[in-house]
Amino acid sequence: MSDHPYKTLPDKAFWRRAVAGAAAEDVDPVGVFDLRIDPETKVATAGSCFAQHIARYLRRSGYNYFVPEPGHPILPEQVRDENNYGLFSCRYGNIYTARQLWQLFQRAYGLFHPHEDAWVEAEDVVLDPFRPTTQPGGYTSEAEMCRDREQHLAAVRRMFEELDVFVFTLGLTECWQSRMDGAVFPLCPGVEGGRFDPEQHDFHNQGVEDVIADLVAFRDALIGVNPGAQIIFTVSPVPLMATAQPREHVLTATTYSKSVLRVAADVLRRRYPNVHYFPSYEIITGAFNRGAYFAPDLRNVLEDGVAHVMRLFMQHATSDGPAKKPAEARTEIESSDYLAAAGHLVEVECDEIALDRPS
Amino acid sequence: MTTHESARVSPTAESRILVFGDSHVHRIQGAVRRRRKFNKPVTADVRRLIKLKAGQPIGDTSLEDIMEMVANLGPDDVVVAVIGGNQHAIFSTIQHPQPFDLMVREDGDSEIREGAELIPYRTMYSLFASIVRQGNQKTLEALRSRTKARIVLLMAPPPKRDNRFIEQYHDSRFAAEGIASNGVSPPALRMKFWKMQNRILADICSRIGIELLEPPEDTSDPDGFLAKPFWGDDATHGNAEYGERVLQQIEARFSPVCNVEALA
Repeated sequence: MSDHPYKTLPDKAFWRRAVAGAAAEDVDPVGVFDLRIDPETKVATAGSCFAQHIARYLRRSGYNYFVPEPGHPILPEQVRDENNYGLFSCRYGNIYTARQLWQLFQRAYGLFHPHEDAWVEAEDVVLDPFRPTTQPGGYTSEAEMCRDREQHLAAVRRMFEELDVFVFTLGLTECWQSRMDGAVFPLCPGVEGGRFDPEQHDFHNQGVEDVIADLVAFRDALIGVNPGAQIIFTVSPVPLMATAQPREHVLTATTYSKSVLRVAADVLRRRYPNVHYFPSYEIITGAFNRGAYFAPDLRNVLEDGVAHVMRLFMQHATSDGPAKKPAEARTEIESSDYLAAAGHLVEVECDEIALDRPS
Repeated sequence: MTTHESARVSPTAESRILVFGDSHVHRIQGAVRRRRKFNKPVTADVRRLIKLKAGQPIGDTSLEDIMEMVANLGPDDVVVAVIGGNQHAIFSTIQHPQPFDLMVREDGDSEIREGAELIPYRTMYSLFASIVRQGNQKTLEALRSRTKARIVLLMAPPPKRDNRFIEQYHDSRFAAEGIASNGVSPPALRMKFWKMQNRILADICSRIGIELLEPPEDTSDPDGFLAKPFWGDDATHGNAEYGERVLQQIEARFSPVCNVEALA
C-alpha cells in the first residue's frame, strides 16, 4: 500500500475522529490559531450580538477587556449596564456588517460625515441613526446627541489606537443604506427609529468581494493608527431574523450571508499575518451538537454553547486558561464611594442645621 | 414651651395649615419663633420630623404622629410637606474627581464645561429619579392615602452660586471624607441638578395628586440662584428670613380665611 498525505494528518483533520466520533463537549474545531493573549493584553470587542457574549466572558475572566467608553464612574454599574456602557468596548451597539465597521472607523477619524445623521422622533427624543438603541429613551436634543457622539467617537479612536487585539464578530451581509452617500445603518430605518423612505434608503446585500474590500480597508486603516494591532474575526452563528433579499428564503439567505462572511474572514486570515480566525460559528452550528446549542427559537445561543466557545478560546488564546483576576490598585472613586461621601456631607449639613447657628 | 414651634389657627378659621418636614423646616420654625417673639400671628402649625442622630432625637414630631394628625384634616385644610429636598446636592456639591456635566434642552443645551464628560440627560435622570423616589415617594403616597386635605410639596431652596462660600463651609468636612482636593462643583451644575430634582418631583406629585410649590418669589437672583440675603450659613439651606418668606407664601396662598391681617 502506498503512502499518501492523509496518513500523517492529525486526528482533527478527520471527520470521524474529530467530529462524529467525539463527545460533543470535546469537539474542538480550532484549526490555525497562533495568537496568544495574556492578562495584560488589551482586548477590544465589536460586532453583532454574539460578540456581546465574548465581551461578557472576557470581562469576567480576568483578562484585560479594554473599555475606553465605560460610562462615568458616578453611575452605578447597573445603570451603566442599562445604558449599554461596557456591552462592547465602546458604546456603538451592534455592528452587524463589515461596511458598518469600516464606516465607523471613517466617521471616528472625520473621513466620512453621513448626510442622515440624526433621527428626530419627537421634540425631545433624538436617536443616533448609527446606534439607535444605545441610549434608552433617546437623547433630549440633537445638540446632546452630537456632543455624546463626539465623546463616543473619541473613545473609538482611543480604542483603535491603544488596543492590542480587536475581536470582531461578523454578523450579516444584508444592510440598509442611504441612497445619498451609502451610509449603512445597523437597523432598517423605521424599525427602531427613523422613517423608512424608499427614495432615501435602499437595500444592499454585500457580496464576498464587497466584504473583503471593506475588511481590507479597515485592516489597513487600523494598522495605520496602530501598527501592532492584531485582529480576530469570528462569524456569528445567530441566523438572520429576516431577509429582505427579494424572493429569498430566510434559511438560504442565512447560509449565503454566513458563507460570504466565513470566506471573507478566511481570505484575510490567509493574506495578513495579523489577522486570525476563531471558529465560534462552527462550534455552535456544527452538526456534532445536534442543535443543542440553540434555544427553542433556533436563533439565540444557549449558555452551554457560549461556554464551549469561550472555553476553547481561552484554551487556544491563552497559555493557562482563565487568568486570576489581578489585584488592581483603585485609581478612581467608585460610584458608591462618591455618593456615600457626598450623601454623608449632605446628611451632616441637614442635621447640623438643628444646632441653629446664626444665619 | 411646647416641643414644637406651632401656632394654632384661630378657632373661627375654616381651614388649617400643617407644615412638616426635615431640615428645611427648621428655618420656617425660626420664622415662627421670631413672629411669636414680636407677638405676630402665625397661621400654620410647623413641625420638624423626629430623627435619631447618635441616639439623640432631632425634631419634635414623629412621622407616625403626622400621619395621625393629617387623618383628621378635611378638604379645606392644607398639608405642606417640606421633606427631603437636598438630594440634588449629593450629585452637585462635591466636585467628582472625574468632572462630568449634563446638557439641558430646556436651557438651550448650553455647552458643557471644558474637560467634563457628558452624561446623557436621560441616563442621569433615571438614576437620580430612583434616588429621589426612594427618599420621598413612599412618604408622599402614604400622606395622600391618609388625608382628604390638600397636599403641597415645597421645593428646596435654589442652590447658591458662590463656590468660595461653600468651600469655606465644607473645608474640614471635605478633608474628613477624604475628598479635600476635589473642591466644589461649578454653580451651573448645581442649578442643573436642582432643576432636575424639581422636574422629578413634579412628575411624582402629578401622579399622586400633590401640588408642587416653588420657592417664594424674589428670593432668587436673575439666574435663579438663591439670592444672598436668604443664604443660610451652609451649602444648601436658607436662613430665617428665607423661612419667613416661605411662611408668608404659604399663608398668602392657602389661608383665605385665617390670613395674617385677619388675625392681627
